Amino acid sequence: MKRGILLVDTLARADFAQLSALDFICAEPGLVEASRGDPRLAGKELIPMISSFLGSKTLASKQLELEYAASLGSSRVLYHFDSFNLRRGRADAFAAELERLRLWADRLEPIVFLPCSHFSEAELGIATERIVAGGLSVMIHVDAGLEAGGESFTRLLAAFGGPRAYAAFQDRAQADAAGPLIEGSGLRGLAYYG
Amino acid sequence: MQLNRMIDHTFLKPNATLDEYDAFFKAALAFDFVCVAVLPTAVPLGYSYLKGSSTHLMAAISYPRGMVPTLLKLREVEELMGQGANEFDVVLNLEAIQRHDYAAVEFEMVEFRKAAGSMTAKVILETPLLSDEEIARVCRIASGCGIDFAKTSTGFRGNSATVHAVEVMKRSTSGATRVKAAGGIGSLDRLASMVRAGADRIGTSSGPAIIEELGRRGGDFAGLLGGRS
Repeated sequence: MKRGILLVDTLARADFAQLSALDFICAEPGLVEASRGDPRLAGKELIPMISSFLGSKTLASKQLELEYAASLGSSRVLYHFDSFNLRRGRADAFAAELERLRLWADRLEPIVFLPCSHFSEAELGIATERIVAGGLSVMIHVDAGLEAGGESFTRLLAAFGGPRAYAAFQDRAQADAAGPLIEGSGLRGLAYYG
Repeated sequence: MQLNRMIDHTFLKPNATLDEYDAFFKAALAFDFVCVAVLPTAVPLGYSYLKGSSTHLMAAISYPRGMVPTLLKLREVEELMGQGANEFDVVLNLEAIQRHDYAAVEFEMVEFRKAAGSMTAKVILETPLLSDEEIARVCRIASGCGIDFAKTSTGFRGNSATVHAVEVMKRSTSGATRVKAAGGIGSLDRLASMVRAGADRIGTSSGPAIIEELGRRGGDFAGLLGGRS
């Protein structure tokens, strides 16, 4: 299972000793560009985050960010979708956003960030169904109401299939604590905000 | 000094429901706040409530971290202007500030000023992550670029305004550039401390409660400030 980070810091203040121990670094596109060629990050996969961290940019803006990420030579992106569509009952708009994202799949493997605590159980069910139907990878945000290794988490993981799924935690301590619980779950990777 | 006309009524919750937005925009109109601050995808909804009112509609651009190329931020400003936004709070490139690449910071502000045209242009510094020298330098650049407001912080991950940061910003801005304090301002006393320090605009999600608190305490905002008016 690979380990990574959702980079909240800037590179100017980042803890490179910590970063060097990881396999992948998810960062805003501008940071990915700034860090390319940095010898301290040699061998690390840099994954641009699209519409981070809230997913609330317009579709046109997200499209531009995807184009920019592709121009950086990235092979994967972490995509934050607009939660508001599901919250206001616009499952069609949510599906349309995913469909636009899927069009990029031959150039950039999209990993859809799933902020589970944003949604009711029914909304989360719709999100899960659509992401699975689109054949997209997912990063499950494990926070309030979702326990690593717990029943809900296991059910989500089963829906997505381990090899398509990552788990994201609020911080490194939570990720370290959860690691042993999910080690054998088949997850593709684990990440934390830092 | 009318308190409601200093407040950017703020709601930056990505998983808000329609009912929550309805209550939010109706409160903005009822209290006649100077502006509401929302995420980009809520701009069309906000416009449907606020068009024709004296409450401006602000879009948070590149919120909360700001690390996308300037061109992408400008495209978003232009798109949202077309959807009815008339104020823009742009998160500056924090990486460039911390690396002291002030040419890049200035470029971003010059281009943002042009893109915003006659609309209100605000830049967010994220002061909790900067030194006083960095804050002062960026504020001077903002003034030189004709930016309307330099803003303390996003509030993201606990990054809140401080009285000290507002004082540094006030000393470092000039001309038409004013100071907006935001992040962690949830009470009348905290708001007043920011205004005393030099803030001209306040970003808060607690606007209605603060106005009601002022009412309970006699309604004299100028008196509460004890001098600044």
